Amino acid sequence: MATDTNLSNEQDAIIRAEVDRSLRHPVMFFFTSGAVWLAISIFFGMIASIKQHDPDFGLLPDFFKDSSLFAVGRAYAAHMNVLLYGWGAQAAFGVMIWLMARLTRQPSRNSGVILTAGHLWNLAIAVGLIGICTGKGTGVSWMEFPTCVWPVLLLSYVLIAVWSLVQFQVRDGSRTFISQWYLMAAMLWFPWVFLSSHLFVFVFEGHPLMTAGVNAWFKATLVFLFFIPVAVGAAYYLTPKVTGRAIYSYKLAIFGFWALAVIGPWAGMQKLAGAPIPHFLPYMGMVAMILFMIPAITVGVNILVTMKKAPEVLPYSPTLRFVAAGSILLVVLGAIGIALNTPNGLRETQFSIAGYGYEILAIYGVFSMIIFGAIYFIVPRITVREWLSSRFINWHFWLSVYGVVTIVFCSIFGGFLQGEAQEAFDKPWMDAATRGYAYTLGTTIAWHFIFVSNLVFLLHLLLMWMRLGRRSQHPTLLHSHHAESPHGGEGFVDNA
Amino acid sequence: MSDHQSSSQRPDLDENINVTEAHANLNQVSAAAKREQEVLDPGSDSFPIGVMLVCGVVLMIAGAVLGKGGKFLGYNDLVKPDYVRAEAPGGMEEVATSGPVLAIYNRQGGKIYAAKCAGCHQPDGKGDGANFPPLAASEWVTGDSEALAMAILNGVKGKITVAGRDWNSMMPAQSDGLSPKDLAALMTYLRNNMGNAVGDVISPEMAENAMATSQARGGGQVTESELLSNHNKMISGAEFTLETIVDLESFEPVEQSAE
Repeated sequence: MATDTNLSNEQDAIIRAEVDRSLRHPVMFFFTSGAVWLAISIFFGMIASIKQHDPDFGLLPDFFKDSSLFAVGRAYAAHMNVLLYGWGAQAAFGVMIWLMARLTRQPSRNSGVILTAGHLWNLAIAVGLIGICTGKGTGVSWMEFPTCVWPVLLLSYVLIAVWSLVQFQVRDGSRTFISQWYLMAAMLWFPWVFLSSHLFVFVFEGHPLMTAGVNAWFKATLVFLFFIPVAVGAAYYLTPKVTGRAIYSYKLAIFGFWALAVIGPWAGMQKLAGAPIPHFLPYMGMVAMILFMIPAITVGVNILVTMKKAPEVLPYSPTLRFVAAGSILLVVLGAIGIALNTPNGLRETQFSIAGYGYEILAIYGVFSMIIFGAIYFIVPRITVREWLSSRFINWHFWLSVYGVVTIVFCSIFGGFLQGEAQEAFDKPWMDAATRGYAYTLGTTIAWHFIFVSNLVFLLHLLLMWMRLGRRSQHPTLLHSHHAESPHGGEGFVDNA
Repeated sequence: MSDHQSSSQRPDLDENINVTEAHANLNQVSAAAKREQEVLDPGSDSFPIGVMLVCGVVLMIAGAVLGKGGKFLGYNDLVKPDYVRAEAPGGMEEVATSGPVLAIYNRQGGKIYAAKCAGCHQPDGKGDGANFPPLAASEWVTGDSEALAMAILNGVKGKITVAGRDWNSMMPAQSDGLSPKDLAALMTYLRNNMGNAVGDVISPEMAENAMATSQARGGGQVTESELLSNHNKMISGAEFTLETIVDLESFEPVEQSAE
């Protein structure tokens, strides 16, 4: 990018600051409200998880046991949908519009519209959540919001994202940076995936079996063609930005991008293996899930090798630490995808808790971790304040990492055991539940870790949103060379 | 190290900053945006051999999975006709579709008894000894089948003598959601379980006739005197012997194949 312009660093910094100022309100709104929805989602996740193994758990207040609002099916649907659209999509929007403006060097001229659309989006999520809890959900997984909600979501998405497309179109110079490929792709893939799936499920009269197929495709592609590309785009920006090193290999980057673009859309139908749909569809789904390892390892290696070249920054920067964890988990996601989608693995795990572990790894372990890193980078810039406490950041990081690794381990390993018991159909079905018990219990405990972690994050973010951050020239770093402050010292690293 | 020291004592200033200029800039530029480094163009390193190897292995696994799928392009291979599950370890048992009438009726009748009757008359059919009369060893259960059917379908009110004792409580009608099949199974169950051993089977046709009789009554719970005067007979209809083989679904006799 340095060669793109003839601006001095001084002038460049002024443009950067203008971009930051123009987007302060919408981006902070997306991050803060996203973090609130994340806490709500995890709360529902905890209730659903407890009810899965101990519906009569003594410490769970009677209200949650008896009220139909928190029936396990509704709590689970609320958990997933709020996680995806309340937190995931909003955090992605915040990162997307900020990164696009930064990379095209254009301040946003439509922040008012974006902010309004953001409120509309939040209103739709709230209506959707109430709908699910009062039993008006559709029952189609990841599309459970009542059917009046999705057109509103799509409309607000268009009002949020279209300005970034315009910015990209009128940018100076023809060269693009890796992050822009991913962000552009995600911006175009999201409406395609979202609209076509909802039309085929809710509007067009189709064969119910193909409706189930479209739903399975939607779940896979929403992850592969929206959440993962946004996260990868952010990682490709943050890593060189914070380390000051060039991305390791351009060839790897371009190969990884096109691999994802070619492989991603095929995934999903493996969920319907054994169903009377054309026989090649589940196999194509399995193959795509396995091949996802290729873009995953390409991106992972490219990011991690770049980071390794900057050992003086790596231990100190909160942003880098979150992005590194997300990149490692991206490779793990690819590996687990292989294990779950060989014909034997799929037969064992198709109807077990393993699928949930895979989804949580993708959405929390990869997407959210990288986006947390982006938030730790972006918020000090748009609020012109530094993060208050490196201790809060540390808690957020470690509780999240321990939590998500526990959930993934429990779900995948427990899923294999559960699936094996399900396959032994001369044994009672109860065996499958008994075998999964310890692992669902582990998942509940891990969600508690993540809940605490995100309460800390939410508090920290709210303080920043109220502009109570530190006024300083120096970033908040994870370790301090001087130990005078309980919240960590101020850093010397140029960036964080 | 020394400049970190000094900057931590004066956190808002770096030594190498021209104060006037910095103040001018701070008005428009956040410190964070100011200290940022530029994103450099990506390096031109070639494709690392390790990544290439991993991708190769992944491609091989994917190819093997695809190979297991068989032929995709022949029309006949596109859809697997009648998808059947792999055989259970030890071989799949042949699933029975018919069986002896008493076993099948008892199973269905037992379920209905547990759902509709056991609450008052107790699972063992002995009643509660205070308000609800016993069904075990009750002359009403083992006696005239039409009287029993009327009591079940309409409920009973007023004094009634059961097993040598007078009872006086309300029994609500139980006909809601009860099909002729269900009534046949329930009555057969009552007459042949819990110590009762009448040894006959109430067929679905009989149950249907009983329901028609009940319909003709015009509603309201029956009393002891009505049962004794109007319904002191067996229900008419097709009779099954205890050896009859019936279909699991329809509860009707099946043709025995000549084996």
